[in-house]
Amino acid sequence: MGLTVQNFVTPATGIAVLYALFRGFTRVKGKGVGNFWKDLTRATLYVLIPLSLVCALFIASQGVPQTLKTAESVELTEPVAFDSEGNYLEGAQINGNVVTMNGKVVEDAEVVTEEIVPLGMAASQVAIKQPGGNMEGKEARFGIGSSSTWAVWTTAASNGSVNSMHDSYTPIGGMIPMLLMQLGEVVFGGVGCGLYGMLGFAILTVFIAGLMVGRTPEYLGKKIEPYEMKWAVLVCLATPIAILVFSGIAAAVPAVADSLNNSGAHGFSEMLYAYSSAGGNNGSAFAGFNANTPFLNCTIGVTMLIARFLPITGILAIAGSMVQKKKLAVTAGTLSTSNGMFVFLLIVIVLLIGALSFFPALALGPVAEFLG
Amino acid sequence: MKKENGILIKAVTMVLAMTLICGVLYTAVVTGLAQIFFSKKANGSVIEVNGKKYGCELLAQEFTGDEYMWGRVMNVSAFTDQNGNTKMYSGPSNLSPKSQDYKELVEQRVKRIQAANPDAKSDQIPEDLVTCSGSGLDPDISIAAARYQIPRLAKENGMTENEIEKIIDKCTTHKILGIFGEETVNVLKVNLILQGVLS
Repeated sequence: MGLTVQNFVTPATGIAVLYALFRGFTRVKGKGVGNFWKDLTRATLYVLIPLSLVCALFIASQGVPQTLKTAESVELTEPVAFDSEGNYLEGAQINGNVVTMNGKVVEDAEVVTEEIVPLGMAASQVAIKQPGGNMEGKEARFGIGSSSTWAVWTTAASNGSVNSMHDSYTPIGGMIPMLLMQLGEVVFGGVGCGLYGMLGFAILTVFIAGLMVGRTPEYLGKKIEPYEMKWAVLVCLATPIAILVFSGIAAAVPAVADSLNNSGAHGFSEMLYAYSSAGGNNGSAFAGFNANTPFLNCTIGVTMLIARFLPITGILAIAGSMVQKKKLAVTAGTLSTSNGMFVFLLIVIVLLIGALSFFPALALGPVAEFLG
Repeated sequence: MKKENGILIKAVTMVLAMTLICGVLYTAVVTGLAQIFFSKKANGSVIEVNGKKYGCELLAQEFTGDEYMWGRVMNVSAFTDQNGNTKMYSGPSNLSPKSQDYKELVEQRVKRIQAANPDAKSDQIPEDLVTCSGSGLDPDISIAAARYQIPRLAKENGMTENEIEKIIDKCTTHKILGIFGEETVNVLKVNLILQGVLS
């Protein structure tokens, strides 16, 4: 019940913030940027609930349980055996209640099986190289294509659901979802926040481009001044700073090493992914990483707060300042923001900030693992 | 001060209203509609024959006997429920495919599968038979992985290879619209047919 509410209110808040920014641009010498409560309610009732209802019923029709019952118990067609410590006895033979392999008998039996093993060179090479691609951590019905496509969608759009385990991707395969979150999730981004994050980058681009050609920076007819500029920088940098600072601290805390599922560079990737996912408000994970320790819970929580609410503060400050400004006439001196050149500049700025902030960290994680 | 109080009251009212709308009404409507229209699926897609529950069609079970079709590698562990009964569950490995652990595991699995399938028609073991799935409970395997096991299944169950092939065909799910996803074979269904539980 609690989570469902959050899942509605969070995107509705994003939409409300985005609309505040829109009003900042469209209203001329206005007095306010709208009513948050109105926007929140409208977004929830008219957009999110109808959309969710249709999607929820669709996935229920595909077999996702939606029931008030607790877990079902079913009889295993082939029983499995465990020892007293709860370790799975793989290959143990079971007759009724009697597990007929224990202690030394197990060892003897295993030796016998191994003697029959035909050790084909070709086959063991085949298995390690995986000619069909990497199926570890992927479901047979999705295969490699749908799994990696979804990995990109879910991180480009602040979604966070997964249909394969990103932790078991190849090094570069796992870097892509990480990078998409680190770029601030502006490809599609979260509901509302994807677009206002991108508009933050647009304001930054206008300012930088304006400085380069010596024109007054303006965007959509409103002048961009140092006040907006400062907040836009905060909007763009809050997420990378939060992610990097806290990953850095976590890397220096010895106890965090116990949370890692893989060693070496991949272990660092697991940690970096955890903070990137928190910073990008995403939710997907390199799931081998055990983030359920007091230290990690707290730092990841703080990362989420910073990366979510600092940009919102910045956007609202920009909206509030913009709404009071008069609209400027378009002249020959105006830098056009609707042509290919501006799009190119915008993409360069997004990549530049993302790449410059995260390249060193990525080099230590996925890139090192790939080369190693 | 008065203004701040006003905002606080509004915020609390909003949280309560949203909890009622999204948390109670919405979830009740979705649960209700799902139960009415997709009753079997919304209750976990359980395969039930003559009152006995054989399993969920969407969750894998471990099969290691020679008479059964084998599925994806499972990471099985035990779990005790509130009534004190031990139950099985499984999760992903989350291992990096570049790691040493992973290489050793795959080599072991390759040996085990080759030993179990001496008559297999191909030297190449389909990769989904030696890898752990994303959920650890993948109910399906690829058609190649199913066909790889045909000679063993035929021998152990006293059937012809043709009969096994037909069972596999019956349990195959095709690509959605011929494009999305992969063709897969449901392992539990195949095994229940082999056991004569399903037909």
